[in-house]
Amino acid sequence: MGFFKKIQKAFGMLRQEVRILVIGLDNSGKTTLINHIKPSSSSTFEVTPTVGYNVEEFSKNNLNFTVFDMSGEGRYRNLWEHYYESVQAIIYVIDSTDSLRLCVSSDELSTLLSHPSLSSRSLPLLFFSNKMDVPGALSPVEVMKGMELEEIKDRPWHITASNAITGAGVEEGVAWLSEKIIENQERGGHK
Amino acid sequence: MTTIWHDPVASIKAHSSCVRLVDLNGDRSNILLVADDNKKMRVYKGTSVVAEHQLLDHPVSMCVFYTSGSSNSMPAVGIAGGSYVFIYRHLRPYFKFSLPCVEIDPQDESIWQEMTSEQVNCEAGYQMLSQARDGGAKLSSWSLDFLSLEKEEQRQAYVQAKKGVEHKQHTVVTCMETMKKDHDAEDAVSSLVIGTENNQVLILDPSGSKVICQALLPSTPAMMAITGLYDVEWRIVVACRDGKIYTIKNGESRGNAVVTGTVIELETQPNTLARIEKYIYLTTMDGSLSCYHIKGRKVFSLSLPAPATCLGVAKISRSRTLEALIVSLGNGEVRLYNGKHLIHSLQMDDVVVAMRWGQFGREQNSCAFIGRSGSLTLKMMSRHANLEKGDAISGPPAEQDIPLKVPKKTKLFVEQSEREVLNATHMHRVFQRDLVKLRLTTARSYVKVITSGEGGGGGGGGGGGGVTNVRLNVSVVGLGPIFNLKVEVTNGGVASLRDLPLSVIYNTSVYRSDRPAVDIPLLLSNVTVTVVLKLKNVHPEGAGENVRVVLGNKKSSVPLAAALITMPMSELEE
Repeated sequence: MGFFKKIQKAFGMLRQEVRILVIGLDNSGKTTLINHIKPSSSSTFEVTPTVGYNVEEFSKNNLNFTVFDMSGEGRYRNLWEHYYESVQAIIYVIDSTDSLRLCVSSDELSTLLSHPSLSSRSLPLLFFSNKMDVPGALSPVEVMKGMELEEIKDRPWHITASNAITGAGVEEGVAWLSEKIIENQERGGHK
Repeated sequence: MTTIWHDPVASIKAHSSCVRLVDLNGDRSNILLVADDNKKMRVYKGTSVVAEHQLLDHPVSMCVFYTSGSSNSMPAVGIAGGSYVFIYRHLRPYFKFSLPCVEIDPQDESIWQEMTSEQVNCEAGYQMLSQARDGGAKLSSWSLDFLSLEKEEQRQAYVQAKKGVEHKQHTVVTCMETMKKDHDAEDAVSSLVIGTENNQVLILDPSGSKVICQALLPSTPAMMAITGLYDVEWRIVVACRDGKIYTIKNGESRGNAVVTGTVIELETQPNTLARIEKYIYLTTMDGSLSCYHIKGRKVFSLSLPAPATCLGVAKISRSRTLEALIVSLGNGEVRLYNGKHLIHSLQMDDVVVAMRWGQFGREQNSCAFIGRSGSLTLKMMSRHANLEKGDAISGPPAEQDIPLKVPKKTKLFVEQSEREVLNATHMHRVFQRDLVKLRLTTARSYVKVITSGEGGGGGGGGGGGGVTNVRLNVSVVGLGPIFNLKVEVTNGGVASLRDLPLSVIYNTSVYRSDRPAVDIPLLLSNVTVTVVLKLKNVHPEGAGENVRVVLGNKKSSVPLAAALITMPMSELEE
């Protein structure tokens, strides 16, 4: 990193580029959640099932985010793995009311963790236990047990209950993620 | 496939046609609908029963169909029971379709008319009806009930009760399926297709209020598989109770049905039927799975390890849709076939009696299984499940492409083969001569062994002693016609002998014995064992003849010891 860039960075002028992959089963609320991560000016309201994927770009927490909002439908899930290589963090959204498909979600997660381009890197993983406002929703601890998140020991991860409609819990999660990304990049910079 | 939910005490009693996975609320989240044989309809959403409704009759089949083509229409549920189809909307009874009445035999009709108007008395009517029955007429249910009454008063009461009642003959639904009207989509408008006890197949209009097409089969339909669209072209494959598969298709004009000449005659009764594209799959009572082309040609037949309990089509939606066949067997196994290749097999805790593949909740590729004990299991297929496994088996084995390790040709080998080419005749002759010599030597030594009697000793299990030394001493006791042969066996060798069969050989026209052979389990060294064998002289003049007593050996055909006994003349039986 050049001297000029260091100064720029110190003054928060040069923003870091961050690529984030948002995945999870269909109807878990990924697109709605991204609408809340985005600064309010660029939010859209009508949410329909995503086909393929959407790319959102915005800056927040002194970082330039490029978010890949992947479709969660079964036939599009094989697209996920093509982005593993190029991203710095992964957000995994779980529908906490869908206890039936928790095992499907868990199955997808284990496929993700064992993917060769991810198993060697310690990307931060952020889990959103979404739809916490719905009666009968599982608590983050229950989701954690159901998804066997305790087994993940080789990378930082965090789980937050969220409500993507009101935006509750989203900020907390994103703050954690930004912190981890900056930490990761600084470590990368020292090397 | 992973089990996502298992309820061992769901106490469901249903068969496959009464289990449906359906998007009842139009929110793309499918629920499980079960028409239970205990006259209940249950609705499972997620893992809980959200609704339970009482049914009016035992359900025969339950179908879900869309009555109007608007994009967010709710499906109607048709439940067939008895001679009615009850149609539910929003899970509430909405409409009842009664099957059209059957025409009554005119003879039957007139007898009843006369009986109820008292032109003919009850007894005469009874006689006339039984004559009609013997004459082969198809009687109405009234007549059959009437003829089964034994007492005069009961018959009279029956006739009294029928006075003023319209004489109608109802039929009952045996099977029901749906047919799409004009386009093939999950929520396309569809009609009910009903098979009835009086050999008919009826197609209703999408609202389920009237019959728009019907066909008459030679036998009662038991199972149906439907393809095509009503407005375009369609085909109904029907398995009937006479063990034959008939095909009904659309006729020249609309609303016209033709029973085609293609009839598949099965050797055994079919118990399940399914159709994938142009192929009909069925399992029969003899535990085999057969596939026929829709034109009637047999494609293949597989024998299953246990008789099939149900059969379904598993539409596996992935990047490309695969239609596989899912078969549950009597041993609790569930198999998935792609064509004739077994692609997956899973063992269930219970014998599956009903199953339905489809979307459950929001997950496609799910399957609901109902066990014999009433258990309910929901399974989902992993996205990464390998379904191509079966295809690999069909090709040549992988070993075919691995080259064999052929050793290098050495100089010695080359010289040797050259020599063999040059002197082939000579070498062959030498070899043949040596072979004959070897055989001769073998034969000579064999003869020597037999003549010297060494054979018994060699194979005799004498153990360390080498040559066994067994003595037989036989004495004849009695005057006849029954003689006792007292056989004293002594092992003179060092080692003990085991399992020795002792038998007496005689001319059957002279002697007879109930027990001509005895086993001596153990013969210790220097111990005498006495065995008594009974022989009866049956010769008409009581002539005596020589008898042999042989002590055999289980390990060799050469006896250990033998004795020849000259039998005395016998007294004649009085």
